[in-house]
Amino acid sequence: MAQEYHQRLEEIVKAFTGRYGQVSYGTTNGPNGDTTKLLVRVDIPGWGLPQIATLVFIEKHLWDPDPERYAYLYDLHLAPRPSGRFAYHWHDDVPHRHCETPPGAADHHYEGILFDDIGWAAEELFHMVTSGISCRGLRPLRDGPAEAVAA
Amino acid sequence: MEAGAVLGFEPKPFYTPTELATLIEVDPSTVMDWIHRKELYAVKLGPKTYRIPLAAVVSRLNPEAAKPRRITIDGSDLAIDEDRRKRRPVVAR
Repeated sequence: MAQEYHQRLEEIVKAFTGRYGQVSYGTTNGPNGDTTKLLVRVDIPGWGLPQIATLVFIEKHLWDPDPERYAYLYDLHLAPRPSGRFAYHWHDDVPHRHCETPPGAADHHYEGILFDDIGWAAEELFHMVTSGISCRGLRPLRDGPAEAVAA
Repeated sequence: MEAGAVLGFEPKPFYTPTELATLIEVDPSTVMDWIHRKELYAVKLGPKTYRIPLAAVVSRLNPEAAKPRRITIDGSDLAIDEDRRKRRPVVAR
């Protein structure tokens, strides 16, 4: 179980390294040891240059009673200009997207998609770094998930 | 470490293949070969238009400087998750 988790962490870190920006990562456990969270943060462009965007990937695992991956939060924040946020989330069984232009805009939950390849979503989000964020064509989500587990 | 010291030339967020070739004194076709062989990551903006992120350049020219850094992260949200887990079963996807 622990080996599987560490393999997953290595896989995610590897998927981001040498591509979008400067990568940092970490892990932590819940107070009862039932959950584990891994986070990969990509500062774009990194290495001391002024920040254009931040890409954050969070995955949470439930260890008790069975090992299950049960949530991911995949967030892009553009800053300072053009500012905005776009994210792929899956938690509480509801895949959805967040799109905020400008950041903090109300009613920003949209229907989402599930994906198996983290590289795919990373690529999609990274293209927004060069082209900007647009919420056009997204369908609002009617029964949005609770935000308690969001990043 | 800052990009200028890592690379030895003026850093910028993105490079064209020609810009990078000039900076590292190779033929532009060499840079394109790296991109096509997936030895250098590049964003494809059009049929023949690429932009190479700084991270890809650092990774190619100074792999040690591109290594990920381990950080301490906030886990306070996991207490909420564990509490919710007790009240509601999680369904695997």
